[in-house]
Amino acid sequence: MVIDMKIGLEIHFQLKGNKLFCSCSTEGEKTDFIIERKMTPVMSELGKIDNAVKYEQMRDRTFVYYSSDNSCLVEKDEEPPHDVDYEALKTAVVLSMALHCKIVDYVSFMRKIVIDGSNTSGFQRTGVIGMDGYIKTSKGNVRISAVTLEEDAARKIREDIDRAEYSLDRLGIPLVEISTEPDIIDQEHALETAKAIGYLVMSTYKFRGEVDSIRQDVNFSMGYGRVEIKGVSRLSFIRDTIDYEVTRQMSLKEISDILKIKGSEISDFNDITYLFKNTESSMIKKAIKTGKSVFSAMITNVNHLMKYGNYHLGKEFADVARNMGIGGMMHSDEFPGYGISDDELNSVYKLLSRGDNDSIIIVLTYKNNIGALAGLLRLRLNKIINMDLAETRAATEKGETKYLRPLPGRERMYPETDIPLFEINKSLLDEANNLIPETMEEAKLNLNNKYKLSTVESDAVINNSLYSTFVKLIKIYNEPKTVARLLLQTVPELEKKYNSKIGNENLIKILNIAKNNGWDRSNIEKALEIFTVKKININELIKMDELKSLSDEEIREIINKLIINNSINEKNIIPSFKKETNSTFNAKKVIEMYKKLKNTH
Amino acid sequence: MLTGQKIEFNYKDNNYKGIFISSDDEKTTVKLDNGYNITVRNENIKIKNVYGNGKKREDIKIKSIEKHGKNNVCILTTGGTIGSSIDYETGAVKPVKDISYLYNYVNNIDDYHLSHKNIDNILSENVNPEKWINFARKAKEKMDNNNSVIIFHGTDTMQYSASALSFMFEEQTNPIIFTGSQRSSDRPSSDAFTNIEGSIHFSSTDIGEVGVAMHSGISDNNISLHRGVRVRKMHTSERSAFKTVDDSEIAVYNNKNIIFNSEYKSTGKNNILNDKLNDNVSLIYFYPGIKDEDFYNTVYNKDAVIIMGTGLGHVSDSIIKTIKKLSKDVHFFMTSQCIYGGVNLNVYSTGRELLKANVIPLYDMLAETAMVKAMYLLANYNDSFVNLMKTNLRGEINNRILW
Repeated sequence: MVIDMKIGLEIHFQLKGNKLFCSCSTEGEKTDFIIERKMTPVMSELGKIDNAVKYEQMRDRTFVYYSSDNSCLVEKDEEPPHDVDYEALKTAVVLSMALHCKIVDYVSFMRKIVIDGSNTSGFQRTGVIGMDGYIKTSKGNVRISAVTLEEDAARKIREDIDRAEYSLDRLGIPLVEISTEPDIIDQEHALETAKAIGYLVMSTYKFRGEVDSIRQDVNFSMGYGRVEIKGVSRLSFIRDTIDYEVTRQMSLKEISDILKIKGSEISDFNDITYLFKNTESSMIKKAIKTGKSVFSAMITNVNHLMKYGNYHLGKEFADVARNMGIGGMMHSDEFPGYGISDDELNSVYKLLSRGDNDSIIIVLTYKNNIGALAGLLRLRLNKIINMDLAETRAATEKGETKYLRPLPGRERMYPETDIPLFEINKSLLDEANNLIPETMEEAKLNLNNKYKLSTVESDAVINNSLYSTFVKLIKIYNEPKTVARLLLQTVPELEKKYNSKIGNENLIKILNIAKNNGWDRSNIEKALEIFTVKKININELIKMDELKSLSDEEIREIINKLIINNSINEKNIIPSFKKETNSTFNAKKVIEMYKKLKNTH
Repeated sequence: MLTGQKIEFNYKDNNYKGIFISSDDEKTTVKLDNGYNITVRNENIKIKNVYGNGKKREDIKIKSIEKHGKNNVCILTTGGTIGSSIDYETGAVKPVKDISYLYNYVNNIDDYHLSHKNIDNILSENVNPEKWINFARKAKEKMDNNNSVIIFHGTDTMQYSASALSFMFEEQTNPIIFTGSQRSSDRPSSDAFTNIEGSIHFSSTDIGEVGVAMHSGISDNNISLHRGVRVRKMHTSERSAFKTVDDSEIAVYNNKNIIFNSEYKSTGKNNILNDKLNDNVSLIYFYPGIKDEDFYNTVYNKDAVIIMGTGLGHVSDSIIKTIKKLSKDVHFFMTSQCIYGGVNLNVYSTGRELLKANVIPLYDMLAETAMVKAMYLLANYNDSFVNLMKTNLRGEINNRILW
């Protein structure tokens, strides 16, 4: 079956340096100082309260923020934002240019209301930098709708029914968001597009490059409404996530077709705790002991649709309940199970007058939490029957998706009046123009033609996002093959073997020493290994016996000794020479000197 | 074009749809369909079509504020951040007249019989003695009708207004609580809602004083009630900017509970308001190298002058000479720019010279409070002015400072 898919991507990249609206570093650790806050929904400039915003307010939660050594009053929402970080803004302009966007004349920062607590202010500051660009892919151009520059949100530590805790270390890190139009035609194309965009960003010198520095959202539709899938953590998950969503929506379509004919209704919840007074179910026993009650409701005509074969309607309802802080929903497709006895089941079924086609759901929760659940489950059922599946979902670590909240509208945006308009003038544009990274195709050509790397080597450099590092290193140590080998083999292998990062800055320092001392590849590799194992100051490396370069006089002495004692020739001079010394030496020089000296003997 | 009108336009060869927000001689701001505003130079934008009537603000449901709880509370609004919202044309924060939507989000509002009256609409830097008199008269009117009074006020000069009403009311039947916010109420993180919640609770007690209720710390849990004459804004931007100086706060509110931290004057049977002020008073900040003529020009024709001296209450020798020349006609009082601690003119020779020049030390009275007190006493108790300046009337002098 051919599915007409529309896929768009929103990819977020962190930039390193300073936070976007204060002078704190992007790097830092959480501390033990905490503050507690509440959030209140507010009107947009047109006087409406956004749906997603109302939903959060319903949860009326308390938010706890752990301060960090890289946060100040700005992150605590105790001081107005400072001027926008120029370097971050410039990088966003560079990327807009690389993606052929129209650049705005002035940046107007907006407040995007988010009251899940992830921003202390209750909004995320964000501004459009470029619009209407494109990126080339093997399946045609994918249009770029916008490049925006925004603040990253606070990092969630833990979450509960009535409370969420965040760390402020991540809040305010500059984030470039690149969003595409829904021009992507399938899973592979999505992956290719994400890689091509990612390549450009990683080639800018400001890319942060930490574990969580790239996050992608997938916008997906196959005719049943737009689903925004938040936080796909790895590139390879883009494909899995879309696969999952296709299967889910196809299964829901079948369920919808059935229920459109049969109809389906959800009853109110009944407190049935008294039926479980002497229960053997340890799960229910434990819940009752902690003051929870057992509630049950009936859904008509969904028996064997809740969890049966390809049908997973139960999960749709369980997601809604879990979002209300009610976990562990049980339903009759799973019974008998959970240690619930047949007698108990029968009395529940009897109480609710369950027919053969009906399904029973059971939840364990506190009395004051049950109120809104039936209404929300009915909304979900209607969405499915009408196949209007538009909503915001979250990507899981398994490559699946789960319900998060309704789609936000434009009502959640209003101007950030604490930040004046920032003019993108000619000097900024000129500066940015000089920093536009090469595209992946240009970089590959360069590696093949200019630096004479093999196709395998150049692909590996590109795919591991090492191109900009490679170019930087070549400027210091102009041996492309050696530099490629160091980046692709030596460094990763040493880092793995000794479980220790070498870091680009140290590699640069070592290559500088190599250049000044005439080291060859083996010397550099030796130096890297000593540095990785012994963690010594790089400037000490030259003084080590193993790395001390032999003087001309010392080389001559060893060669003379070899010529007298051994049968050596041009082919075995180097291995033989190596056996005689632990110090580094310039191999070319040894061979030249050998040629001269052998004639004098 | 009008704000809110739908437009179609061309920018750098691409066509867009959006909503017109504003424009000036150089640039135009448009809201795109995705909610983002963009601002572009006028020469780069071509407006092709305009539709609709523009500005349409859908009313949101306002909870009726005439509730049937047993405590009558009247909220008087004067402007300030707590009653501010964004002006989408200029992009600045401006005062709004209708603040009733705030009440939708205050937790405890249903327990009270609430009413609300707009008595001014200004940022607090524009408040002056004339306004204080107006605020006091409006508060009396409401108390006479058996209401407690909450006054929404800009935070910048809230301490001056609270001091003024503290002195002008010699007796009051209900609490008067000033409150405001450090984050405007159009932000989800606004401190306004919890400040209002605390104020409403404080207003239902038998405190017969004028207080200021604001965040205790930078979390949204505790709201402190400060004595009007002892409170000072001590931070430009933090929620916890207001601090009681050299004394205990009257009370702290937390989750529908009030804990009292100091004694207070109970409400009285009558509302006695002395609504006269003499504003021929000056407050002057001494600094190293201050010019004699600048000092002289600021103070020579005043009825009273409050000096914020250095340390224990000092000024330079040459200023002492100027004071000596003027002190037959002008009353000089000494406070300290240290804010915390009392003045004492006996310790150094400079202090003793100041005493000889008839400068009167005010111990730990806050300079701003002293200025307002002088205005009040000059207008109402001119005969015993100096004596009453030195006498504690509303808690403004604290003869025992605890650490």
